Amino acid sequence: MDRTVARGDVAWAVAGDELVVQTAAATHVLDPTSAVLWQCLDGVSTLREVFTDIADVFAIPVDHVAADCLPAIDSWLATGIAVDTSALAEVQPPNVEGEHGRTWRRLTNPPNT
Amino acid sequence: MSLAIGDVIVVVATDDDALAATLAPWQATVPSDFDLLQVDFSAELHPQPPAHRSLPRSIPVVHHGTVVLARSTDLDELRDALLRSLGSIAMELPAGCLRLSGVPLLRDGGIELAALQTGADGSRALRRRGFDPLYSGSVVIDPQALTVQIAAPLGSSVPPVLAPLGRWWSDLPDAIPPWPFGQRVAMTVSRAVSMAPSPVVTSEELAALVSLMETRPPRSSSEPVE
Repeated sequence: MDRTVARGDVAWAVAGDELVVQTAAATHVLDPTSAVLWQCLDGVSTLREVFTDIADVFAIPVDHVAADCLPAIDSWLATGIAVDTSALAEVQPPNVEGEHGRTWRRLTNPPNT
Repeated sequence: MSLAIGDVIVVVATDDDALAATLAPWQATVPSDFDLLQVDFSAELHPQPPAHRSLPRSIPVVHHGTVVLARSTDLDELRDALLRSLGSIAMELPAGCLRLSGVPLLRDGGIELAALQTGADGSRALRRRGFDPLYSGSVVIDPQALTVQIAAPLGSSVPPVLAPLGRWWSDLPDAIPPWPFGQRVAMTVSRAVSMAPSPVVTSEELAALVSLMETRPPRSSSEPVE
């Protein structure tokens, strides 16, 4: 619980009580509880600090918060929408060098292809 | 032919010499290892006539992938459809706005945005319903001002069309359960990326989509475009 976790370089927005996270591969919807947790992952606070804050707000034991939240965080790490800050690395998007050293991209894939 | 639209390579196939000549200035030479097998747009304006006049004839069509963007016997309308679709890719996305795919339908000075699949209905059928389609593949929407911007045709000096947003249709599957708002947003994200130069939206664009769906919820795909 002393590690720090940050939201990945993904698009996200609060939608009502829920939260939508969008990557190139998938769109995720987080329920209201997970949405609170997601917004706490600033990459600076340790998980212990985050869980303690949540436990204070909801007046429940921090161990209960940890037991509920760790599986969610592990799944976000597994899918890559969150990252262990110590493992942060700059990832360059794949590009192809074009004429005159220009870098080209492809348009988003058309439907059903 | 492969075209350079900004920094995006778009592969277009067409059987129309006039369209090919118009697009020639954007033609780009790309490295041989670049995957050009996938065609982004095809404009079949001169389909083969049937072997016998009693057989059905094909109507000229513009495709994006397997989706029919526009179907019409008016070839200039189809050329305009392809050029506006290419123009929409190059269109700047102002802060706070989002890009949505669809078929813009003009009526009474406003624009209604039908799902992309509506293009398969054909221009004549849409006009019979009182709409004037202005095919562009995608549009830019300002969710605060509730306005729609339709790109000018690629290479054209005419200004983009700007008009108030009327109704817009979701392309969610029929008979959907009453999903929570977040799930409906998640389903609609696909419309924000299907004609975009990038396969992901930014957090700002996602927030703009949420704002639009809060202030102007989309109609269900089961509701007819009437």
